[in-house]
Amino acid sequence: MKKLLVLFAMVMSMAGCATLDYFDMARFDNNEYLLAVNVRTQANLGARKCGTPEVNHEVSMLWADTLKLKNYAESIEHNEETITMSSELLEIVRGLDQRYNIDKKEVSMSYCTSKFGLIEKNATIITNVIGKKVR
Amino acid sequence: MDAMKELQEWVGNNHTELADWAKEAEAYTNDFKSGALSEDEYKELMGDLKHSKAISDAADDLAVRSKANEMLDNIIIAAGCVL
Repeated sequence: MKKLLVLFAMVMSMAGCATLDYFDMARFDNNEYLLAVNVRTQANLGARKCGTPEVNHEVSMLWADTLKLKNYAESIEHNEETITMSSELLEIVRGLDQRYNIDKKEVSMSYCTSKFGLIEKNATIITNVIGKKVR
Repeated sequence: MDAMKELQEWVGNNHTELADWAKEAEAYTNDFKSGALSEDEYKELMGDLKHSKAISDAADDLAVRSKANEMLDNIIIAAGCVL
């Protein structure tokens, strides 16, 4: 074991600060995980309302949940990947919110179900990976 | 090679994630051709696949870093027992 530690110390000293930065990452955070689960759940519930007048409210809730996730992720240090994921997800949700709640355009059933499906799929990826952050 | 044929080849690709997104793109294209999706809806959904790719890449990076950190923690804990 001591040999392993010496080897590790040598690798760290040779690689320098870049290696140390790599290991400096945000750990598992209960609130962040819950916010990601909320987005996934809201996408699942919203898809069921496609084609009904209630879908606008579901989209607003999804937008708020995704924005909360991004804002919360941004408040945590060394959390680059989660910030990227939540920002990209927010961009996907933005289109949905734009059509339903800002432009108030006519929206096809196919768009509604595809969009919610894609958001749920991405939110599942995010939830799974956030759930595996180091405790 | 025409774009649709190329897309279908990607659907059969062994790279699971790539095949997955290609399948989505194929489904959107079929919906657009059948008139189930308008042109701007179709363009937006195809653009969303780029955001999805960025999410997958960041998720992969995070998974690798988490695993590396976990291994490092385990080494430190094990060393603490021995030293």
